[in-house]
Amino acid sequence: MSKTKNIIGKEILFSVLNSYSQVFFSTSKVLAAFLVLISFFDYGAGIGGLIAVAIANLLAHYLGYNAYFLKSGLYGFNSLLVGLGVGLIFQPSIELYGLIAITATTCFFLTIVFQGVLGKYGLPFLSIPFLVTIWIVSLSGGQLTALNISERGIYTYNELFGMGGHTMVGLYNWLEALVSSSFIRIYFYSLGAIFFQTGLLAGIIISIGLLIYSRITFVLSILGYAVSYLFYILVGIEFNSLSYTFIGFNYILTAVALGGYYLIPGRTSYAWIIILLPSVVLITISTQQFFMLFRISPYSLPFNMVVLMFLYALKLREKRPGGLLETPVQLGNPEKNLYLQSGNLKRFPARYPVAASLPFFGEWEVSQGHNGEHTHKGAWRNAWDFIITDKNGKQFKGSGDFSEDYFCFGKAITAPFDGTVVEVVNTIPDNTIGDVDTKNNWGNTVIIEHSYGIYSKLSHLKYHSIEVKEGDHIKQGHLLGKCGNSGRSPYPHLHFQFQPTPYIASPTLDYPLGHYLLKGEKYTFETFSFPQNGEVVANPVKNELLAKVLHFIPGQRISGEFKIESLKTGAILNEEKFNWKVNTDVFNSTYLESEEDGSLAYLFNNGNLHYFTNFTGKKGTPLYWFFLALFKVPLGFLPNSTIRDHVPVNMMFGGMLMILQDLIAPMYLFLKVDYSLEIKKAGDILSSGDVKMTSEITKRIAGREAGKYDSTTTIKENGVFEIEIRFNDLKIQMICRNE
Amino acid sequence: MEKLKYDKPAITKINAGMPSKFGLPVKQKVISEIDGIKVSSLMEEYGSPLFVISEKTIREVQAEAKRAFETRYPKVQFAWSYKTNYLDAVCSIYHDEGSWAEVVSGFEFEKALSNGVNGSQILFNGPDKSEADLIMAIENNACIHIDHFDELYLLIETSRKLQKKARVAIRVNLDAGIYPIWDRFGFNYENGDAWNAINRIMLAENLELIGLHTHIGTYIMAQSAYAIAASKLANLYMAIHRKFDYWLKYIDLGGGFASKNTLKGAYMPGSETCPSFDDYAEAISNALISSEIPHENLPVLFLETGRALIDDAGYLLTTVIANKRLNDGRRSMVIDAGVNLLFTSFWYNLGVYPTRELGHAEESTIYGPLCMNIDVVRDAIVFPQVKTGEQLVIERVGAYNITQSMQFITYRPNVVLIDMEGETHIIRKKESLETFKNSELNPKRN
Repeated sequence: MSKTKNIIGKEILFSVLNSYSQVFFSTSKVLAAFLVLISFFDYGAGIGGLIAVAIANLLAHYLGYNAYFLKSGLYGFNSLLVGLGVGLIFQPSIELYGLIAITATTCFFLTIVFQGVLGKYGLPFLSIPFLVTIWIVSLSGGQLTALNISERGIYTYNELFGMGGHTMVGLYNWLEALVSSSFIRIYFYSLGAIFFQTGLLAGIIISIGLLIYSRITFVLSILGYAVSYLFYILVGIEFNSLSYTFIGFNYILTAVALGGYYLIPGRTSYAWIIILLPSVVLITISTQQFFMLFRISPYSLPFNMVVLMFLYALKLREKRPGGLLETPVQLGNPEKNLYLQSGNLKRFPARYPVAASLPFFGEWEVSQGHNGEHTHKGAWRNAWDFIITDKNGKQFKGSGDFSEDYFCFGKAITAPFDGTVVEVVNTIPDNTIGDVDTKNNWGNTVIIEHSYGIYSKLSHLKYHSIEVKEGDHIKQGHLLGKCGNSGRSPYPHLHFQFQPTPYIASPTLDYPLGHYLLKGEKYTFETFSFPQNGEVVANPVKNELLAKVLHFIPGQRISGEFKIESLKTGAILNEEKFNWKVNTDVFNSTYLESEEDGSLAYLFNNGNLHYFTNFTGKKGTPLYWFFLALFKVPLGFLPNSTIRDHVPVNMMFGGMLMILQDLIAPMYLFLKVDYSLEIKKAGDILSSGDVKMTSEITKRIAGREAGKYDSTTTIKENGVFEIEIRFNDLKIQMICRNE
Repeated sequence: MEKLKYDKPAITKINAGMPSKFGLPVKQKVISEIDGIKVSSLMEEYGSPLFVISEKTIREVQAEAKRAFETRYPKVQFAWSYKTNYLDAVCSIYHDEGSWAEVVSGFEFEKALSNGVNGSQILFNGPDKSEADLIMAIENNACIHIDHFDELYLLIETSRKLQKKARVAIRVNLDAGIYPIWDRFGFNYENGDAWNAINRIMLAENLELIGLHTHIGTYIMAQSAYAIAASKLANLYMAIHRKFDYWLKYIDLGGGFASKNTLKGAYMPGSETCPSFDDYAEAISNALISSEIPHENLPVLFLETGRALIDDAGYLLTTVIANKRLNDGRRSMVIDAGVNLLFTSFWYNLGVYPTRELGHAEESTIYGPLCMNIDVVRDAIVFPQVKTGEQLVIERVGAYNITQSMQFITYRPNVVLIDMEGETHIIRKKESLETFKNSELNPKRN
């Protein structure tokens, strides 16, 4: 009973605290505590804010809105701002708190409405609900005669004395004297203004909170502010207007939102902040002029306008170049987003919804890759030609004078990914060798629609060999037809490309293959990559055992033993038993949850590849080591093949080094964690027999090795994991089994 | 000027007749060296007769077969048919190429184990599996291909006694549209025996049914027969899924691909008429891929090809012992290798070739060295005149001849392997009196 109470109490506390930190897109409890503190600089407004948050969150709870959004404070922060804002306009009184309750309710429903409407476009609702509500109150303010307009901000010393006596007044004076630069003063004022505070102290406390929560956010807040400050000077806008209304928070919020939260922080996102902020300034100035007519402030309107505009514009892109990327998995912290992303851009399914396999069986050679020397040029540059060669590199037997001599001729061509057949050409005769049919350039062709704006085209197929028809829904691997020699094809080969439209002559799309094995001395497993000219590639064959044990099913429980031993002394340093549970969250992410310490390991399995996407909780726990040892494991594999990746650096580094890295992370990552996994034994084609793999995790500082972890994992036929990790002179042994 | 060679005069019937569509007779084929090594030096070093096996040919043919199937079907596994040629050196090459082992007796099973094959990668076929054999198979986790109900009962009993699961498949015989229908092995598809056996196995406690096996015959020259067999097995595969909600792991289409040898009575040479690996692969994979099996559940395709893989890699080097004129005037000769070494000469018109250009040819009979009337290597072959001591090469003898050669009347010869680097190795020593003394016992009489 008391445990349930505890949990409910914790949930309530979290939803309230998060409503505070959510104003800065954060769920940091430290930041929240700072913000709660400064909101009570004016106790009337502080109470108003708290009431508003409580009402919004209670409404969300009892009306049955999403518990996750509730807990993360998304339903509360707009009402909080309204409560603070309204609380500052009027003198504290019963009537005022009645008004706050009403406006908080209005704001809550506006939150739901804007979430619904903007959510359809995949956009956040930001502080629009607050804006609408605060304008309603401001515009009707003069008519609410039972409420007295607040006199605060006029008798500053009186208020300070009321708050903390002589000490507070002393602190105030000291700060005022200390921070003399108007550049810095206005920065702190602007920060404080986000919480309707007027003093330097509030701004200083918020900035410290931001620094603790995220170094990137902190840097961005300064960057955003500085850019607009410079722009003010450059175009000669009277600078006092900035200090007078402290409207500068628009610049800070825009920089924080776009520079590091909704986009992955990096040089490009920083550059865009510099480009965008002048327009925020202009919008601010102009809206101020306009709203002056109504004697109200535009508040955060410029921030909302620019952020929504930019995010929506980015969403309509056809491609996602590496530099400017919407945050695929929102971890609620710019550093974490960046480190996760920097590990391997390619891992994220959000970026590439189509994970195509090779459209054939067996090993084929790329005879012309992207930007090829023969025909893959201009708008048609992003295509592949595939042929089959023998070990001497020859692509035909005998004289090669007949199509049938060519190894690839007549071989099955399969669907690269699930989709709908939108175009079939099946009636063009195969050429004699050396001849080309430039009239029917593409020959017999199948075009498949995989996703909005992503089509694949397979061309030069064999005359009358196509076995699908327009409108067929097909799955990855479905037989389409046979490799042939029709169209502009001097010798039999398969032409394969992605394209943005369903038409035969469509230009190509720069889109990678989801996964394939690259033949070399050993095979490497490539994900979301582009086979190059001359490379020999094949589809991996799934290992049933790996597929089974790495398919974690919600509700499944895993338990085991964990032991750390010193190799030098032989002493056992730690020995424990653990229990994990598999769960899913609202975003459909699956994670392993440790019942002992509450740490979570998020994972993803697309049927071809298992990888952990994130780990939260205590480092050094059994789940942490499990996360590292099996960070990325392909399910289809050949013995002695290798896969490489990078572990997010924040998973393995800490302390001052990490803070330093955070500060400059968007510019340069000097920390790095290399991960490579080699399959030593993968059972046989019937997937009987144990799977044995070794992984090597190397920590690097500016390229120099700074620590190495070697792990060996054996997966037994009955699904038991045996993991051994060695680093320094420690040996960790772990056994995990299903319950 | 070199002195012209003397050819004995001979009267040859003018036999112009109707020119065949292939035109005039071709030049006499000569095999003077194998993988770059002179036949004469091989015989000088290792004696005559002499079996020679080319590792290069083994690997090339295996690669060709693999490519034919793997570019048409996603999951293919070859299993080396031990009975075709179970010399350890030969088996090791196939295992090195990734092949599993297909064995048909306890002896072959032991041989495969001793060659380092993992027990779970042995397919155990054949009608003769004793209880001891079954115990060995279960203990080694092999894939046991059940041949008949009595074996099934014995297996149920044995696995129960051992308290261990046995991985099994059944051998199915079926009408693949060819003659003869091999119905002596396995359970019949058409009369429901196979389905009956499957149901019993699925319900048996310690048996895990993992595959279906068929072997429609040997030297099958119609690839369409494999397509029929594959689609019938695919039907069973789906029926099992429908009834038991269970996917088997593999379909094994056995062996039986024809080699390029020419069958006796064939009008055209085998190298012209037999389907290629591509033809077989095309038929089989088409049948499986276009069956109703969903492509994500396609079974692993096992192939137990033996003959077609190794026939070309084996040569028998032999020496002419004598020339004889038969009563009807036909020429004949005696060579030092007969049916004791060439079991396949009962089926094929084996290719016998000189090692150098010789004079004009006439129809001849080639006899082996045995003092037995049946010892005929070739009834009628157009062959040049040769002197005694002439060295000849018989090609395409890699399959069955070494495993089925008889120790009869004389010793069995050396078997030599030419490796990838062109080095020669004896892989089985010539027999000697010692060989027999070692195993024979002579009871003492008073």
